[in-house]
Amino acid sequence: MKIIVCIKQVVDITNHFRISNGEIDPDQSSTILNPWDEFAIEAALQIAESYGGEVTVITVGTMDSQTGLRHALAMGCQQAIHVVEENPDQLAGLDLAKTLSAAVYKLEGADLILFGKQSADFEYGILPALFAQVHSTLFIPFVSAIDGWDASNQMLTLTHQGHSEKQQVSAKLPLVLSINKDFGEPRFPSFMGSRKAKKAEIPQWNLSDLGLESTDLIPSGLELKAEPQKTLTWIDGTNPETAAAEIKTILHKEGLI
Amino acid sequence: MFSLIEKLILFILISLSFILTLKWIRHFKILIQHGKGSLHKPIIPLIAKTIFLDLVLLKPTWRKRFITNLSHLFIVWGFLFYLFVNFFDILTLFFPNLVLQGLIGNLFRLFADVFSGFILLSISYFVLRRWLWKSPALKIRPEIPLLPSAKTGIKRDSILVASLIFLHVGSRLIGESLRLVQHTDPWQPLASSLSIIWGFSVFPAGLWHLFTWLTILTILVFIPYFPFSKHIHLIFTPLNFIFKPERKTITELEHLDLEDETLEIFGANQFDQLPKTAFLDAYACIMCMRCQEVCPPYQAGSLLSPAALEINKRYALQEFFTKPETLGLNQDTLTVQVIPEEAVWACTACGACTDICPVNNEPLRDILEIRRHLTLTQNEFPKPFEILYKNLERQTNPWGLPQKDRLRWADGLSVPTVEENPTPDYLWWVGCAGAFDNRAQKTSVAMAKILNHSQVSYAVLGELESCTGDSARRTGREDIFYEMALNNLEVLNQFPSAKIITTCPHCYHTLKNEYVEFGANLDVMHHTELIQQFVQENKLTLNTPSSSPVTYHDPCYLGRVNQVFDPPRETLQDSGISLTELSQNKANTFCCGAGGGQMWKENEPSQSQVNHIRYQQALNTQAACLATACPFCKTMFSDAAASHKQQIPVLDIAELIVSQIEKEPL
Ligand code: SF4
Ligand code: SF4
Repeated sequence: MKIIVCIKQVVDITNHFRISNGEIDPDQSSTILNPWDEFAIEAALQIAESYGGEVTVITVGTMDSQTGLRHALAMGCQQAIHVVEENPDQLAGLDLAKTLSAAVYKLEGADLILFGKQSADFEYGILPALFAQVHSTLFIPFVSAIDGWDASNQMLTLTHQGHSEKQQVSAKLPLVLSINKDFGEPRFPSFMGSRKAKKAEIPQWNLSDLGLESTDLIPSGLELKAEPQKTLTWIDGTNPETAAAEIKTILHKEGLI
Repeated sequence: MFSLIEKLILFILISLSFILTLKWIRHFKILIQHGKGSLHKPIIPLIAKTIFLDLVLLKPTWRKRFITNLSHLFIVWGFLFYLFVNFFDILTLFFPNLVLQGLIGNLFRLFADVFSGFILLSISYFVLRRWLWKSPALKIRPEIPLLPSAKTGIKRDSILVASLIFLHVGSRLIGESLRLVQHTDPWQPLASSLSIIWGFSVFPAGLWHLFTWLTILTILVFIPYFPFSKHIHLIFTPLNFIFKPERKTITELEHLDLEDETLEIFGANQFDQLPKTAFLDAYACIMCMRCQEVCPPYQAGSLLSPAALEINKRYALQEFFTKPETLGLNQDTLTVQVIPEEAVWACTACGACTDICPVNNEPLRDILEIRRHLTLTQNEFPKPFEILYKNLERQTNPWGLPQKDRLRWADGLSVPTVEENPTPDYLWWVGCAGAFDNRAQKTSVAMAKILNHSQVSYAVLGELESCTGDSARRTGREDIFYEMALNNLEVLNQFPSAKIITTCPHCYHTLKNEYVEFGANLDVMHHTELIQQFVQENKLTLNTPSSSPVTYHDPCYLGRVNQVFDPPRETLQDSGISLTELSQNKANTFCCGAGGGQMWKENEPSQSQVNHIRYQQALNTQAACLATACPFCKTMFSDAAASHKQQIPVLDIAELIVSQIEKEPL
């Protein structure tokens, strides 16, 4: 089975970061491989281990994304592709999907294309569906387990999280899947894996390699704003009535009641 | 007095024994050559020191077990003297006229006689100790895996060797006494007394022949039997001192070249992956169990026994002794044959085993080599270490807290950073614990106050500081340690003239001794040393203290490993605090249980816990406070105290001193 996992380097929001001029200031933030994508890689590796196959990871992003790609290689993926794009967050979701689709074509397609459920920084979770649309492939969201594989009919049986409950479905490859947490803790890269990954050659493609023009792509116009500082107002509670009146005025002023 | 036939037989037997011995020497060489690396080239001063201090005076044995050591000393001296005795005895058998004359001859006979007595007495003591008193010091708890060959081997060997020594020395003494039946010799009091007891009126030639042959045969059997018994330590102990370089500290590790791209196997989990010195260790081991006696996890009832490790190594190697070329075919791993993985992970890397071992063995070094193999080559290690490694890689500290928060502990205090004071006299390496751990932060605050009070020029690195990598290294992840070391050195090299002070013995040790491998030459001081210096220079004005006594726990990496024993004690004394010593103190300190990465994982299964044992020892001193000088010790004892009925405060020396400072700095 040929499996591709689309991954992304995200801002580490568990660490301090700063937004300036509507963008995340790279000097004042650190990035990590999207934790949800780690689950997708884990799922891909488990599928490859159970049914045979190779796992390739692709990312669209700056040189910083190489860390994530190498992490994936260290976890055990066989190949990594870096589509170089200086400002991936500025790409509209649809364009990102187009870029990834072009990259998958260049790799001569795949049986399974996996995504993490969402990105940990912007949390839209829309890319897998957009990709499936652009790539004209059946999409199954929130997959939590692979239950069986019928090689002769190329049918995969899997469990996915439906609206309210889990459902089991069977579908013919190729498929686009978004993966949730249920495949288990992503494996910790071994030292030997990291050592190999450090030395691995990662092909770098740019848009023209994929037959795309940068003018084909529309910027998202996304502008980030730092949350306004929270202010604390101290209300003296000695007289409950005046305190209640004061709270009422504040809530009115904020348009909350 | 030997007939020609007897001489001929004797000559043949000596030659056979000699040829066999040469063969065994060759086998040893082949076995040891399976080890990695090369042995240290012996240097004359070290050889001289070894012969005099370690061989003749048995210096390393005297820290424990006085009576046993005294008996052993007699055997060693007796044995050394018997080398001459046997040589001259055999020479006189061939050439009866060659007798040592005059005073030399007299003294020679006197010593031979007296030592025979001492040896027989001492051997009796050892026999009684092993079989009559069944000394518990010689036992390994039954649940600790010992190779079947080791179990039977130790017993068989002890019986055989004791009998051979008895027979050899006893027969010689009797032989001499028989020679003296007609005219006693004042220079051989023991043999002369015996000769009178026998009551023979004529020289009993037949009996004399019998005992003389017994004397010779036992020694001729003994020598080639040596390699099969633990008594080969006679040879290997001196070799073990001579062929090892002087280690910088007892916890020094094998150097691992991570830049070497050809390396595919890291650390050791098979004999041929171990360094050659580990082979010497196995044959030098006298199975005295001293290392086990001082091993905290052993005392707490875990599966770890450093003695079992060496003994199993020895007996596993012995299977290959007669066909040493085949050792490389041995596919069994060390974790199967020699030490179970659980025991490997129970070690606190406290160094007590290596420190106490009288024959210069280094069980800890083996354990850390095995850990390296498990983590680096096999990717098998306790699960919680994943978090530790992730935190170290991502946030450069074991707590996984943002690097930006490194100076939070100093909020509200005036603690200058290197940006504010770029040329400090003292560069304070706060350490990750000091920066992120609640309890250790209190030590940091105290130290900041002491520094401010002393009005010296100092600075902290703030965000420039990251973990020294000690926990990564002691748990086997040399690569993470290596990265951290290089990064830290890049930072530290910007302050070449500053004296580095640390509030953590592990940082202290790593910066001072382990970064040397990467070319560092840092001037490092532990905060207890600096505080003591301040007290001596009258930079600190101390209040009259309370009268309640304090006990002080030596952190392993400050005390035993780096020999900093006195400064914290002197500081306490100078500030008028009365100190009551723990029963195990200074170099004999008993680990808190956090070292070797234990801080970051659950305990391996054991009957009790190292920190609880030590805390109880502190309570036994009746002290009102347990002082220490390490953030990890503080955590371990505070935890122990919290689950104990009787609670005494656990404080860092810096905290104790700061409470004595008259007025706090502004
Ligand atoms: S280093 Fe300490 S814990 Fe480890 S084996 Fe030696 S004595 Fe035991
Ligand atoms: S390693 Fe050293 S201390 Fe331990 S049993 Fe052997 S000789 Fe004794």
